Amino acid sequence: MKVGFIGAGRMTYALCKGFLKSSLVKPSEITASDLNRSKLREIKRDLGIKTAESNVDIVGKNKVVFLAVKPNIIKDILTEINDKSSIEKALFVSIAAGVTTQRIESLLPEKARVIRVMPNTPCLVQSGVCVFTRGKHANESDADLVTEMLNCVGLVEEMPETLMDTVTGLSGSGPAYAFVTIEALADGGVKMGLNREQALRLSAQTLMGAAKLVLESGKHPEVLKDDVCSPGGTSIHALHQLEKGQYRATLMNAVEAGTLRSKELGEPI
Amino acid sequence: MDCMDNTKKGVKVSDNSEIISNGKTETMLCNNVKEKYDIVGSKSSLLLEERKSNATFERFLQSVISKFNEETSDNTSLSQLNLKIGFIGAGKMAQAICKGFIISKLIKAENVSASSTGMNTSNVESMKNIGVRMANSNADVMHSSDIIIIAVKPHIVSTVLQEINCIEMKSKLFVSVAAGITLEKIEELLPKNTRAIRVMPNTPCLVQCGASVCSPGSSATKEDCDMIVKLMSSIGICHVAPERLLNGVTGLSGSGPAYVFQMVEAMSDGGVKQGLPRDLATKLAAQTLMGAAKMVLETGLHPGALKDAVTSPGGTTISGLHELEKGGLRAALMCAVEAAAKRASELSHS
Repeated sequence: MKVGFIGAGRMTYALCKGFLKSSLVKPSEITASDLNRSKLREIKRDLGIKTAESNVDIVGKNKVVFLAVKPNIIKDILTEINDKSSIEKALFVSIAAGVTTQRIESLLPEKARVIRVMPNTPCLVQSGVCVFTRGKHANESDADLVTEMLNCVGLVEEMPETLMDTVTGLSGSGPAYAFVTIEALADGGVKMGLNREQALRLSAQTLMGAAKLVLESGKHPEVLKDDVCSPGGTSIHALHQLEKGQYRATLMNAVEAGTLRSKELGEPI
Repeated sequence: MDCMDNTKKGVKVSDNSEIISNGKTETMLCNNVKEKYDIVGSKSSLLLEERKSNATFERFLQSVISKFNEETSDNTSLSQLNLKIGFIGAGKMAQAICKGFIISKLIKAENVSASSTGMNTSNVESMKNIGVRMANSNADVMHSSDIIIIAVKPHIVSTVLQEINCIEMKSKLFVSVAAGITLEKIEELLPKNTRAIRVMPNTPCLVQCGASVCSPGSSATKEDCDMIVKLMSSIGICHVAPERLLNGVTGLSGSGPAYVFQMVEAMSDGGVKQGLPRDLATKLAAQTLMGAAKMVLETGLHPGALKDAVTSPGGTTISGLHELEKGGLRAALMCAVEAAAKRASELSHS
């Protein structure tokens, strides 16, 4: 199966790495294009994929075309590649944040099959979250294909487009909340005597491990919390500090703010 | 007319003028005033008037009676022991406990005596209405009882126990509900090796919905403890815990009702702000708190899971909940329990 990438940035890198690792596609089956030649050289060198001179080439020869460019140049890209004959063969998968399927479809010929994905940075380590939504003409097998491909880099969920802003606020921006948490926990560790590297490793692994427990045990997070908080023990004392700091509300506020901003940004200019 | 005389007659299905009592739902006719107690777990609360024309009521009654017979089969054996209980102090808590024991048929009213230190007339009246014999003195109560419940204010426990101090105390079981009075203190005031148990009850014992924790003293036996748990269970739930946890218990279930009263009031205010009449707002608020608590107790589900079950995506509840989180409700409640427990500890050491 031939896969093309318009844009060879970090997400493309992550996705390619994922596909190759899971043997979903061979390096020779992937082609990428990018204005930035050095990026292209890098990805070709590291992953062994093919590169193309122009974006139009990508569209003609590939079954799936990933639009992996920044949202502000989507319009230009799509205008450039807009060629009716080759369009219908390709499935367009956009990972441009905040660009709706309607917007993409409006810039492509009528019957174009489009799927929009909100990925997140941990895709880079195959532990991401990709939420996708179908455009008007994308069909069941398109959805299945995208699911299979994105599964190589993490969790995949399909949702209606109306929820994509919320997904942005939660899993899209979420890694940032986690980074801040990890740093703060590490600071706490350092304050209480650990050296920085140790503190950071412990803090990151703790967060990852806890999240893994939630995903794999099927238990309610509050039950898991209860399991850890023994009467009068260290955990419940510490947790009280989090509650005093309105930790929960703060996180809710963060997701809400991220979602609202995503909506604002998504408004047609 | 004395209510308790009727209760002693027991339960009859066919005669509508009888008092129905099963320890869980009680409909009493007292001096032409109908009192209705509705407890967590009972299916319906029917007013006395409805009975007369209601065939379904008869069926309800049958189910209540058979349930009562199942549940109180050991109550019968307990009441056959003819335990004599005495209350030193006849205030609200004593009345609540006393009423509960008698209504549940665990203890016969004729086996109960009480003394009131200040001979407060309304307390005395209330006790008499329950069918309890008012004793002449604390010593009288002590002599005529197997189990003595010390229900006076904490600052007079010492005086009272010293007053009645005699060797006869050794054969009795002393149960103190005085807040903050440690077992050490109580045992100091009693003859050596006298069995004592300390109980931390709470005000909803008054409506048979209490939460009590009891801690056995150094000489109290397992049977003593089981007995007290059984007795206190007639007015709510009762669990055993080591004494060192009683400050925490005080902070939680002891003072807890006050936190809830505040919540009822605040939710009611919220309702009034949104246009509801006050009465309705308060009733809805109280019933909501009670119902939600009932769900926690009866479903056995984690409160977090119950919360999830009612917070639909983008819905009203999650919006409301967000405000609670912003307001730091969780922390505030944790702090409240902590502050009250801390104060309990301070008071018990003073």
